[in-house]
Amino acid sequence: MRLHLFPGLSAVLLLALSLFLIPAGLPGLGLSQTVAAETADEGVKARIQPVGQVRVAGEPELKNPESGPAVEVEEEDKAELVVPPKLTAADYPRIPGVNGRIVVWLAAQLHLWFAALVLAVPIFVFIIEAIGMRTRDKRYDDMAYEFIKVSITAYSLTAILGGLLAFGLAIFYPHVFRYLTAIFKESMFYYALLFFVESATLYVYYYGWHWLQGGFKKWVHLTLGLLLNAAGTTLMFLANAWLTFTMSPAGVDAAGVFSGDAWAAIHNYLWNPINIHRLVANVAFGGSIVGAYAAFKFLSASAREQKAHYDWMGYTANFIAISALLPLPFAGYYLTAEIYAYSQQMGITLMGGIFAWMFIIQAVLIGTLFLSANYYLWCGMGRSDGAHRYNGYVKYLAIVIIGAFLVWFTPHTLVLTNQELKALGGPYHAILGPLGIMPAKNTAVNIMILFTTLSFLMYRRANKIPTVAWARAGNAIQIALFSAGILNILFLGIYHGYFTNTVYKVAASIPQVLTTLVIIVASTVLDTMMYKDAKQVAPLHWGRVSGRSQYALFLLAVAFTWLMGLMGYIRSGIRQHWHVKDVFRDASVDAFTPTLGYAANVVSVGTILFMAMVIFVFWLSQVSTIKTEASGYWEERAT
Amino acid sequence: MGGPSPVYDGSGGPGCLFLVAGNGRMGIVKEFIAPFVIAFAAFCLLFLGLDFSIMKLQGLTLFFNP
Repeated sequence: MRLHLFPGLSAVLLLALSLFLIPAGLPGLGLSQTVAAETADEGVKARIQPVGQVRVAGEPELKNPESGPAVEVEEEDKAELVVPPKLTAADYPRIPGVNGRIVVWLAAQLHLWFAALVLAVPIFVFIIEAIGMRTRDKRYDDMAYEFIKVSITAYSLTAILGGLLAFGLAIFYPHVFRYLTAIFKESMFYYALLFFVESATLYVYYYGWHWLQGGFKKWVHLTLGLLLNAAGTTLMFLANAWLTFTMSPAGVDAAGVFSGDAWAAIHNYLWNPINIHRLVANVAFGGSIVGAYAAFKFLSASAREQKAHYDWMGYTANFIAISALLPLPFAGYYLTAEIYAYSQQMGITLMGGIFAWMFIIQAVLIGTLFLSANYYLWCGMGRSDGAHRYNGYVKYLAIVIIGAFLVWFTPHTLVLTNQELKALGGPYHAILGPLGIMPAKNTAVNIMILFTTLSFLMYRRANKIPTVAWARAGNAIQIALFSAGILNILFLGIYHGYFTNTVYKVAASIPQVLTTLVIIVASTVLDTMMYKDAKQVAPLHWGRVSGRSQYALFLLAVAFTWLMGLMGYIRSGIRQHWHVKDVFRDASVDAFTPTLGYAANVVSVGTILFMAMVIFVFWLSQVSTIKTEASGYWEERAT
Repeated sequence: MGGPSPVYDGSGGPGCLFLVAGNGRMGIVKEFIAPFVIAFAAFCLLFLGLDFSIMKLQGLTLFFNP
């Protein structure tokens, strides 16, 4: 118990301590001002630096604040104002041989990966435990326990990395840290307190698992799971507010002067889009990591029962990951649309500017996710004696998914030499060029999602025989649903994408998404009704699955991790040379956007570090079950 | 919709996707083709209605109207 508890609590305490110490005024923080000043607007404008002020056409010219009147501070009219300072490179402390930006970048990324894991796992552990309670099938309870066991060590690492991030910020970016803590002091204080609630709940939930069994005790345990999830989700939402404030600051004026309204700062423009996107993505990511754990255990197991257990666990984890992956592109589109709506400049930097090529890598990785998830499902059909009925269809699914994947990562513009440009006759390829625009990609991703749904339906049906009299009609309706839906997606993508204007192109993506959602929901409902009381072909042979299918689970985890790191970098990078977009300028020597290759290398190093830590967590769970009989080592003592 | 309950006959092959014992040509028309045609038409209308509504909500028409 000490192994898990001690480092976690220590890191939390250190973090909490640092949050209180830094705003209290450590030496060298004078430039980051929490100043007392009169509340009059003129006074504020005179005091602050004109960072981020923009003159709007038709409005009078901005006054130079330096030439404004001196501010007189009346003691009785004091109000705490938080002002972003105008910094120089000298205001960023440096440690010889250490790059502060890389340290903070990696610490933040590693913290986020582990945080995503430990926030997501209790969500589906809670659901699996509830399923076990309802069905009274103990296998679900055992599996839920094993899932939470993975996250318990990861929880300590999350807290340690959170402490490292807080110290990294305080050391290398003290003014930024101070500005943010001054604005979010209340939420940071409650965040620290909530951490205690989450820790306590998690430890009781985990260590009390076998104690709180049966009847009322089981309900108490499930309630603890709910409380754990409520605390974890609230923690994430709070941290998201600090992050999104730096992208879409609210509760501050044009110069970044904080109005004092903490809720306005929290409830900024991009807060909820990030909340939704992260919640869904975390579940997908958490599912993939515990899937990798199950694959690790499957490959290292020798007993048949163990193989069967970890095969089932891997399947469940993959199911969770893919269930969350399917709606994830839509949450991503929503977030991107909101980024565009908030700032066209940020949106264009994101998708059409320097980061556009990163999205090609993103497309490759998401394609990898879909392919590996589908491959795992197709391999998993081998568990059923009835699967051969469907094997013939797999190649068609593969062709469509790979085709959609190729369209998805076809770039619009190419990096070309003059000679290549001449040979091509322009910047766009005659055939591939049209596939580079968003309507083609939207169409491709929707079709890829629908064919993954089909893979799921086939897997689900592989071992079943329907007994309802209308089974043939039900199949006809299913085929009609998919056919009509895919035709509609193609119509929207081709007609609106290539024969209308930009407004129509963007607008048509929404009914495309809704069509996909309608098909997924309707086909699942219909299939559930058709296969109610279905006969089994034969008992499923859990464990009868190839070893290579387990590597698909590893690939899924690595691809998710890398993808999160790259996309996280882009999300943060679109602020460019601002600590807080348009109000607090980054004046450090690192205030530039690194090349994509450099960024990809940093994220790759982070991915390797994370995977090494995850393997350590898996190994710990392995060694915790090993007992060595040290005969003759201990002296016999009379009790 | 009458006839025997669908069962898996163990014959394998792609045709087994539909998992239903045959009732002859008329059975196929009645139990598969007719429901398919009706459902396909209904779903096409549903999706067109969805497209129309969503485009209208965005202040646009279903077909390009510059």
